[in-house]
Amino acid sequence: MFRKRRNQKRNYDIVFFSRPNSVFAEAYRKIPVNLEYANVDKKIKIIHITSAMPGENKTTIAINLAATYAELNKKVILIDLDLRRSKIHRYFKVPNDHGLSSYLIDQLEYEQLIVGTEHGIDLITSGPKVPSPHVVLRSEKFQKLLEKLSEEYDYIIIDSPPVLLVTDSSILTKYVDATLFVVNEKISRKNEVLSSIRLLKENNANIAGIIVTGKTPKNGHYYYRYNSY
Amino acid sequence: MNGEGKIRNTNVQEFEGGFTLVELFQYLWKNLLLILGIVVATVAVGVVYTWLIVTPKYTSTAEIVFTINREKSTGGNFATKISEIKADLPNWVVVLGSEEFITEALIDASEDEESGITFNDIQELEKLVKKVKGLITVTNPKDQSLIKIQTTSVDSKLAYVVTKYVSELAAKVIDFNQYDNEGTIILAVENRLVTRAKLPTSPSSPNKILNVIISFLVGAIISVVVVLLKEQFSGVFKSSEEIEKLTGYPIIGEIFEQEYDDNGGEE
Amino acid sequence: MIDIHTHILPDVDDGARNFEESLKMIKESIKQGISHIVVTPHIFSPYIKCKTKNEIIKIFDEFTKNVKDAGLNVNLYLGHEVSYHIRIFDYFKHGEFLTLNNKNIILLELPYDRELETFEDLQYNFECYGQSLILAHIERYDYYSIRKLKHLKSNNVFFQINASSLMKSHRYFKKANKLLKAGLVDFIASDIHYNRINHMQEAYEFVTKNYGQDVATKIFYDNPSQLIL
Repeated sequence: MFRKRRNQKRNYDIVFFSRPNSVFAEAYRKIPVNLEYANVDKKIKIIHITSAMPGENKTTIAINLAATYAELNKKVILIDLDLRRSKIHRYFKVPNDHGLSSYLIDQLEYEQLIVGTEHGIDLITSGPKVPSPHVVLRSEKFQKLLEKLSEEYDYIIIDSPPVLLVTDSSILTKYVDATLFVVNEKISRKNEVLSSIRLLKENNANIAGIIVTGKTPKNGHYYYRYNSY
Repeated sequence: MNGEGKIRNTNVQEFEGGFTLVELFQYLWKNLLLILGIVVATVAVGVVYTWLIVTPKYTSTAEIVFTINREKSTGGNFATKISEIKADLPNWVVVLGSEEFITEALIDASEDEESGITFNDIQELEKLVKKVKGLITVTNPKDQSLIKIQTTSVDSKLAYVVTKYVSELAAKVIDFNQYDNEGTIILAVENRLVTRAKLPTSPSSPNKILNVIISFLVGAIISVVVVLLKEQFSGVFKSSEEIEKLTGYPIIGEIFEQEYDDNGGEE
Repeated sequence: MIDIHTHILPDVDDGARNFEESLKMIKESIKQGISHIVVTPHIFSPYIKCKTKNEIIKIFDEFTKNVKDAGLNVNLYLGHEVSYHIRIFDYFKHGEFLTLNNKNIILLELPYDRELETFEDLQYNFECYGQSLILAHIERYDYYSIRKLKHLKSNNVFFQINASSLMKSHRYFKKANKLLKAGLVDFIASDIHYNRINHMQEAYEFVTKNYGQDVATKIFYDNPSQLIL
């Protein structure tokens, strides 16, 4: 039905870095561990983050998850594959005058594609908007790019558009090792989530797990205080 | 750290399944517009039905009371006599409601030009009698020396005329007087039309206000049911457990809203 | 007063056709109380044949000499009125147009027919490269409501309206006033071409009378001198 569109200026803050001892950051630190336990037999390197609909905080999760791996001293690269509504570059305050889309149409060299950021996360921004992103994603050049990145990085985190909006997410499933599905407890509708998951399964996605966001503590108690060590 | 592979932090208490009373109110509040819409729609239907579709019916009532005139009556034992009269009234109820009686009353009515009762032959009369029989109700409230005659019809004049002539005929015909062998009146019973038939000006049905109230209640019930169904199927998830159960995938991370943060400050 | 948007350079665009006209225009400006003029010929305009940056620089150097020789006492600065072009950012990176007076501020003309959907991305990229933008004669963009302009306003985005729009019978008089009332006007300039009258003095008096001396001083003196001179 109707979803309130938030038209105010967003806050492009990476909580994991700005408040590393917060409960919020702690929640992220658990994810790599849980991910491993949930997928003991598989080697997970290329992780794809998606959700059912826009506005469910998927991008925030992708960024903070990359930050989590960086803190563990892993070599991690973050790819903004939401070619229609890219915003990762704004969190890192880097320009997006060129990026993945320019690279895939041969207007950019590989060396210029990867942007280093101050927190040790490497970044590939989306680049200028292109008319048909899904065509671009299916290209061999993109596949080869992922192969090359796999050789150089421990983790590749891909932020992609919502499943129900465009087919991009479904296309990506064959290029990635694991899909993490984001459910926002406040906003995500049951039927939309279930449809998305069905769609992903039809495309042979390996859904490694679900990240629940937008949780509110129901009885006033929540995570115990957790100081850093 | 969390080395045992516990997937969820169990410090957080969560409710499972169904919905709590609080959640019910939340659902209702969230869907207030929908509820109002449904209630307004049902009330509108009710109003349209009541005011525009249903034909109003009119009722005319007459009551005959039977009392013993003690001064005129020479005999005694009035208590017993009254009981006898009361015991007999149910029989009269049957008589008054019979086709024969109604026929007589209608013939009387037809002699008055203004009554609007006319028939050209026996068949028409019989048809009319049958129709009127369905409209008329004759009753004797328990243990009272009273006969009540009520006619309900979409035609207010008909209701009035039938009640008038049936009640007047009944008052004439029913005779509880008793005489002795010489013709002296032992028991004088008066039939009094305490309530005379009147031309009804306002309908007895439908009960407009009641209908509106009923539509409102029906609307309220329907809307609540709709809202509950809607929330169950397309609502949001209530807990991580529910997400895990319905999707079939493990929860590997739970992120709380930033606003509720933040008891871990700076280093 | 300082006039930041003019087409006084002779025979380079749809402005002054020859040097005599340029002189006339400058004399008129001086009469109106203008002491500093930023010369901003069109570039990349779809309607007008424009000269290249290097040609303009040469022409400007000669122009300032000639104006001095003609005995006119006025300070001249050089910039461009840059029309939006799909490759504008490339042109920027290759230094193919001029900013205003070599400062990090660009006078930008947007298309008239339709809102540029990627404007915010473009502005963000410019900001990443340290450039502020002045949107020229914004009252003319019918697709921008006051609310939208409030949303676009930021530390790096400025709005300019034309002096002629403050004349009572002008088509955009109402909108120009709405903008002033909303505090959205940073600059008022003449945008003088050969066939238009210079209204700067009138505009100044209008603003002073209706919006106060402080506002007028900020718009006609403080902003231009702080940001451009």
